[in-house]
Amino acid sequence: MATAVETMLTRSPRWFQEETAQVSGVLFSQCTLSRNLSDFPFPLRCTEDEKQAVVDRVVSALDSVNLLSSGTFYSLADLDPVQIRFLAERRLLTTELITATGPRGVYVSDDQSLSIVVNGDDHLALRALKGGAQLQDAWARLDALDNSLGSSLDFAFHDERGYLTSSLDQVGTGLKAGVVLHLPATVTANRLNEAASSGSDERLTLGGLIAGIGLKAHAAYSAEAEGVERIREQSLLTNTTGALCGSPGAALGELFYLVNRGGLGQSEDEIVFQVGHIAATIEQAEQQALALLVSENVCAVQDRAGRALGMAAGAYLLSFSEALSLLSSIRCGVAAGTVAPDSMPDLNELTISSQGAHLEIASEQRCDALTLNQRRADLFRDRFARK
Amino acid sequence: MLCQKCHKNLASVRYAEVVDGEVTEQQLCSDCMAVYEHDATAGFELAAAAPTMRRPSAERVVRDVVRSERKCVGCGRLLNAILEEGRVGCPACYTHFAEALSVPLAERHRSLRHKGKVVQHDDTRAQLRAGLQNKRNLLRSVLRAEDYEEAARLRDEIRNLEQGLMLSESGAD
Repeated sequence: MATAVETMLTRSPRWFQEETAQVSGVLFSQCTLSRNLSDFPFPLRCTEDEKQAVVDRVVSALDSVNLLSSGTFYSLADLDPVQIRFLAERRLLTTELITATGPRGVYVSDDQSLSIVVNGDDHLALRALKGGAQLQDAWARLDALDNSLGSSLDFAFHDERGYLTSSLDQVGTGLKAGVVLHLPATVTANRLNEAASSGSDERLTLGGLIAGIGLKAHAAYSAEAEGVERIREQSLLTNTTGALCGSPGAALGELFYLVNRGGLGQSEDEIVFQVGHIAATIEQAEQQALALLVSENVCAVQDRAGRALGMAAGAYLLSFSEALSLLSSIRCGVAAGTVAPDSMPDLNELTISSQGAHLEIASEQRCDALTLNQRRADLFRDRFARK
Repeated sequence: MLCQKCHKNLASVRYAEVVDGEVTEQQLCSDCMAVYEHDATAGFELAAAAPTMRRPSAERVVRDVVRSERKCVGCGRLLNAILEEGRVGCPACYTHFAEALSVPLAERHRSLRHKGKVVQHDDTRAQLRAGLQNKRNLLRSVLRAEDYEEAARLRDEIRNLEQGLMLSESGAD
């Protein structure tokens, strides 16, 4: 089982290779559905025996709908903390699963674009990932997975309240539809508030991606044997909402997450449409801001990207936040046409592979924060020195 | 509405008692409520000091007690904990606390009515699951009563039922 996780290092997820040819302000799209079995309490109130029974039933259902032939179910008890964080860095499992206790696990499809978290906050959290602005496709895939599992499992459902979830925020559709946006020109032009408010009427939230496991989860995770210092500021992780976010001003690498709030009173299709529509509006505003920046002072854009490329090719120590900042500047240069777009595949892949657990597994050793910064700089020099 | 105790006067107070998590409610007139209040404080010396303090209305006291003590019949989660943390214990909480949860739900959502996709239940399996849930609830009570022999028997019964259910699910496909 352990080996299977490590082999994933050499296999890039399908979803972040999908938009390689296109420079897009939307890095990827992601949908998460919360579901619970009708005859068990939610994990918060489950006994260990009940949690084990939930795991057994879900694995049996995965088998009966032939999902185990195209993916693997990992029990968390069989994985070490680095492997768990590795899967979390690939957005396949949530911080709620990491901090939960008792029997729990995650199913991951072979192409790493589908995952099913078992016994996090809810019995199941189904997730589909797609590269670029493909929220409709991600939802279509998730809907099919939900229907398939629903034929074998009885989900908790109430005629008026819809799908019942442990969080009052998720009840109804149980759907969180979100996109990760890269908005360097919007930040530079000081138009972040406009972008953040553009979705507020539609009950959408724009947050800035932050590193670490979040304040709420931090206390629970620090109780584990794993040293907190090694995981702090080293990973972009996800929760059931889809991403760990702070205020837009706190965003790392000028990366933002747009997601719906609430699941009652709207159908899944309405939610997906609205998130996609507002994301397109924000992306359009970003392109206009970038065009203005280029027309007013193209030298500044060239300088920013050029300096970033120089540091990427020459640095010997790189923190994770600095690496994201460099990638942001280079990606901005590509979008503005000042950097050749053939460097784009590296940027998508580097965003994922420069995270802490990825570096630890690649170097086949446990690393402290300083060693991780060295490994990250080695990785960047290797990729950018060849360009 | 007439008082549910004397059946003569108009009811003006909702009186609730919580015993072992079970809530029983009655609509009472002020006279019958006064009798209940007297009964509840009888035998306590501190009751004598009470008139010197400004006391909240009987209805408010009762409501506060009800709110803090109410437990879900399915999982035992306190209503107060749900309202504070925004996290529910089991599917039955949504039915048991339907009225109390409508306010936090209205704050979080566009409306209180689901408009998305609908689940299709298999009746036979739904019945089996309902039976299983009853057994699990019983097991909790038995464990609370520390009857470990009965608990072991129930656990075996639950395990057999779960295996049967899993087989029927595999067979359904």
